[in-house]
Amino acid sequence: MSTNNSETILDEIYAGLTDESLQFKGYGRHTPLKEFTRLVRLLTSTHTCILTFANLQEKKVLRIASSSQSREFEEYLDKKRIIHLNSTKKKMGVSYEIASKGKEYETDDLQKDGGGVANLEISKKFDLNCFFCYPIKIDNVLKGYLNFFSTGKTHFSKDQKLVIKIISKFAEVPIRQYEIEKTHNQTLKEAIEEMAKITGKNRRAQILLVTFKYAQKLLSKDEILSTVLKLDEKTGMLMELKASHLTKENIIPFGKGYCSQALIEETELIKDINSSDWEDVYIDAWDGVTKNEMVIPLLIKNEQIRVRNNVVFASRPIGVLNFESPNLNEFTQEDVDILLPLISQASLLIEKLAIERKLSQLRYVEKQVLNKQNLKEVLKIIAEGIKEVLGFEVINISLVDDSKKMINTEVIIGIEEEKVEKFLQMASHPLNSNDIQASIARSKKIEVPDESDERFDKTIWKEFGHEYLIRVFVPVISSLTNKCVGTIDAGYQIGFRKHIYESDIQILQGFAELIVEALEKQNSRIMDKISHELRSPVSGILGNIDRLKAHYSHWDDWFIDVKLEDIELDCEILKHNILELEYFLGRPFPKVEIGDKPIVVMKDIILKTIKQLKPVIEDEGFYFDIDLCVDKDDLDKINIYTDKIKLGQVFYNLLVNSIRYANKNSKTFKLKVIVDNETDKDYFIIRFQDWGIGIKKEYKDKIFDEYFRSPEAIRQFVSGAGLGLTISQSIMRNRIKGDLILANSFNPTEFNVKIPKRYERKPL
Amino acid sequence: MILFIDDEKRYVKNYIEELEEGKEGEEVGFEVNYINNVGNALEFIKSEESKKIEAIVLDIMMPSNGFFADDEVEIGIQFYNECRKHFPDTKVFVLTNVSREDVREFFEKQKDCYFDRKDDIMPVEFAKKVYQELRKRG
Repeated sequence: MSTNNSETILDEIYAGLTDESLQFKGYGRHTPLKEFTRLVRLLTSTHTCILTFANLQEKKVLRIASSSQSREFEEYLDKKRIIHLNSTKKKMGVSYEIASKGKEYETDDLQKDGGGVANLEISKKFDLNCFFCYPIKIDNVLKGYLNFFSTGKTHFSKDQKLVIKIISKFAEVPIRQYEIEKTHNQTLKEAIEEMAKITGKNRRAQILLVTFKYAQKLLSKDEILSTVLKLDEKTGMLMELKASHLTKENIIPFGKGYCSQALIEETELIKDINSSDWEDVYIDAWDGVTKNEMVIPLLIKNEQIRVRNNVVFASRPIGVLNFESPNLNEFTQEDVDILLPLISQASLLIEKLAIERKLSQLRYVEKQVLNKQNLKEVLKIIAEGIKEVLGFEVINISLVDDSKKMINTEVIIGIEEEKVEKFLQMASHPLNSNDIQASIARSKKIEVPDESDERFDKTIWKEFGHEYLIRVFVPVISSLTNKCVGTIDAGYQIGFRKHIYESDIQILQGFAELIVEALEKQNSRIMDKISHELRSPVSGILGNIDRLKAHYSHWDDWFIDVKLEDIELDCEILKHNILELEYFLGRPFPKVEIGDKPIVVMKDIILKTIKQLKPVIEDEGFYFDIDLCVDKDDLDKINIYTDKIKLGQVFYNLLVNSIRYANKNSKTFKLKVIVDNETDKDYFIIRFQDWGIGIKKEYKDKIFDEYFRSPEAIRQFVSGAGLGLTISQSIMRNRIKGDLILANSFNPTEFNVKIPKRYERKPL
Repeated sequence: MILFIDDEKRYVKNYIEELEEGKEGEEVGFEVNYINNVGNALEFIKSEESKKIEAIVLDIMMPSNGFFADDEVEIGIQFYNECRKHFPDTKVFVLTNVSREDVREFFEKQKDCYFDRKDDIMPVEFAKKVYQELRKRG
């Protein structure tokens, strides 16, 4: 759903569904419902889409509308709209066996035997391979299906099914309208027509006002106080939208008044005030006039909610219709029954609008992150988007660190600012641990765990008030690798919101896709970089060979030597860059290899690296100024048994960084290496100093992070994937068992390489 | 004069030397003006001296120096567009290590523009190509 084309199609669907012409107007080539199926077909990239109305009692299915890429197939479907499900003849679409289960169904056997849903001859004629149907349920009663045919050889994709699930909500509206069309209640028909005409801003409020108006008409009672109140999703307060008389209270806090109670109980209430059991919650809004009160909650019934791993049903509150009378026993169950169809339709439309609003806000967030390059910034925008769009109060986005086999919180919002740093430190867990994030990353399943779940980190749970939250954990799964790359953990306080709704989880999955896209973009950028860094020395080598072949007969020997040295250096550079590639691809470092002879660090590694990279320094146009603060006699002092190649990689990375970030305004490249044998009894410290552009204070703690490059570095120097220092520190800590630290950030920039003195003896 | 813009001199010096050396049968090679960043290159193309430019050799992946958006691949494209404002008919030889197909397609659609990857075209062949294309023009 990330393409502009999809956005346009969704816009058209919204426009189509809110258009007055939406009422069912028969089955023809250009009806709005046909347009609906056409747009759904385009949005889902399927061959054919059919919307059906199921009448299981009579074992009949009615094709309300269909659209197909094949005009001929569409005409075939249009010809016969009523399908008798008890007929033995295979029809194109859902069969009785499938329909009566009321579940989604798919098959890719259309070419084999019709897959139980299709006429084999027709399947062959139109090259149909796969079928998928999704049930449309209203109040948990099966009303119909959205059926899809495809000519592709593989099953419908996860993305296609996600779009179908979201879109199925919209299909409830035409099906309900189709049902109402068949009833004979003129007032109800008028109400539905008026609701369908609502456009522009505040449509939710407008629908509630139309409901209010027609509820009064349908009840036709004089001298009563009628009120419509909408629920504020974020605070739980009921806000009065309109009342027939002036009322004293137009904002009702959560838990107060009959109206709140009806929402909490999720049922209609009819009470005589005198006999009320709830005197303590009653709010007198009509100056003591009320004797009898009827409250009908506006609920989206049978919304799918998630409990642990399972999907079950619950109601979602929207608002209430409240009626008060000066007469005892004024309201009856019959009044409730008159109003319920109107309220049910209003609730459906409001839910549809809510999904529309959330999808459109999701697309807005999508646009916001489109051109952002910094992953952290993108994750922050996504977390804020989840808060804004879905009303979650605490959002935690974690990413899997494959190299360290950890899952770490990257962004947390909804906790006190001063506690964020502490949370980030605490919320880092091994992937194989019992922690909830790690568990979700392994299982790749969406969960709404209950509060007693043992996988919660109890220290975090208590310190950050998680005991008051209901939370959903959504795995972030890469569609390319099917690997879990992170999790979204989102929650709100348990109160008027008791559940996590499946429709919100589907939007959360949309946010998860944004995270995947951002990660893939980052990986692609890094891959571009690494590939560039590999190609550069290769083209350097090839260029030198090319010219040697063409000119060696008339070149001087010394010049040929220069070219050969260039080739040698490019081979070295290539070797180092391959290590970056291996690191990026997640290959673990090879084990330490220690030779039989001790290494003289100064001569064998540092001076060799400097000598090797000298031509690069000269190519950059610098004069070379190197100061080795060590006595000639001391050159042999650090004489250790360790892995020469890996330690060489560390000094190579340090020197390459010094060259890369040298001050271009200076004509001299200045470098100082100090060997410190005294300060630490356990470690040799090699102080590596340069006078380049330095490291700003705010980036001091980040320079060893994977892929980190300061904005200045990005602006001025193209090379580097942001892995050199990460790899070097990892080598020093995990392989050499020493350390690499930043000791000074500017003038000079100083890195300290700490090598354990115990390596003076050959390890056993 | 050939304006040669690339941030990594080490990997283009063979191309520059080959262009400067001259071909068999040519008395002298080209005068090559090497510039290693887009900031200085922008300044140069607006200067009086730029009138001497016969062709431009351009890398794609370069740092922005604060002049363009920070997407390094986009920078080459943006700089190319900027060059075209000043030199609509000058031949531009894109010489890069960028392997993205969309980038190749973009440059292949441009008039008087040649796209080559550094590992595909060697200095000797590249210099020959530049000579031929400039000679065609007469």
